[in-house]
Amino acid sequence: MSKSLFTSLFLGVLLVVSIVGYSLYNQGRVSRADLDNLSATVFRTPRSIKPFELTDHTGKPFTQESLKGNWSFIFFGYTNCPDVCPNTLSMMNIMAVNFEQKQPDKQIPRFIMISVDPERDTVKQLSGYIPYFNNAFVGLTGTSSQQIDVITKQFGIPYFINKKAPTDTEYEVQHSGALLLVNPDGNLHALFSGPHDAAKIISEFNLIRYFYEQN
Amino acid sequence: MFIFRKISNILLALLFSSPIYADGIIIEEAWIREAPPISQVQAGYAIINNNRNHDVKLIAASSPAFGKIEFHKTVLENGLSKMIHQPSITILSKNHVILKPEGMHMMLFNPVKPLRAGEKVNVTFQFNDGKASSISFIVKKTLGANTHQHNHH
Repeated sequence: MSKSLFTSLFLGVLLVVSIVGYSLYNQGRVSRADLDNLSATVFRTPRSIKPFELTDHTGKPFTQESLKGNWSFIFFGYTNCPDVCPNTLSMMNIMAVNFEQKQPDKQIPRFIMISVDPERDTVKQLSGYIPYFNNAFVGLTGTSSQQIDVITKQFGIPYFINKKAPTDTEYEVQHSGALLLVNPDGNLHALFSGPHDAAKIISEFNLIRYFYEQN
Repeated sequence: MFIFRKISNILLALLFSSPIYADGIIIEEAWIREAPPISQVQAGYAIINNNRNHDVKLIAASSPAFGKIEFHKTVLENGLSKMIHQPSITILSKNHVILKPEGMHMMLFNPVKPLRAGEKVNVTFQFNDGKASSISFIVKKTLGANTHQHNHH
């Protein structure tokens, strides 16, 4: 056997062993490609969140720092919304109950509704609205639309206050139905577009979290 | 056997059915979503069947339990959830319209008092032929709404 043939064989075997070994090592691991196949948009590099200052439904300040330490699902809505918002909040409660029952060893993600109607959604209004869906849910509002815009603009969340007249108090607020996912580092990690399905979001979130914890 | 099942089905339907009107408009599954007591707006849903030989238009709805009722359609357009006001709802002959969450629905403004799950509310539907129907809507807590908290005031 010539020396070069031996070297080729040796390298070939080494290559096969490496491939088999690497794929065995990777078995059961979630790859980046798996995340690309989800219906959620998972950012390759989670996006840092610029400073914002809002108030929660109990009157306490809530900033980008408050997002750290747990996963957060964030939805934009308003309390004078009869159809989509209660539907989404009920779905979020189905998710919360599912996390509590099926994954009792894991921390239950935070669920947040940010009001896009700060004029009508005062802290008092939110405090009478949010806990109805789940006592652990967080409602956030600001004292002006500018305060809300700090967060909607950086997240690319469109909304439109459809006031027919300055005195209109029954106005509709058209808003994005997207659900944002912020990771425990406080960075924007993924985005779910509507219409939503609790079971699908939960299974995709489990993969996203698994991948995050591996890396 | 078939005929017995048919008869028992009819009897069951008579016992538990939603209102069936002689004039061919049948309304089923009429319900209102229970809302947080602070809410000034709610939504109502139903299936409206038109067994008549001609199309009908639902032109108005009213109830002693609400200040005002409008028909709205939720649509997703360019990433925005919008509610489009519908002056009327047309139900084609031998067809039906489904009012459902995140679709066509009744928007109920200013409840006279907070409604709790299990309560019944009468809503009057006004049709374009001058006829009106009074429908009993049941208030329901949506699957998923917090069941640990009850506000009995």
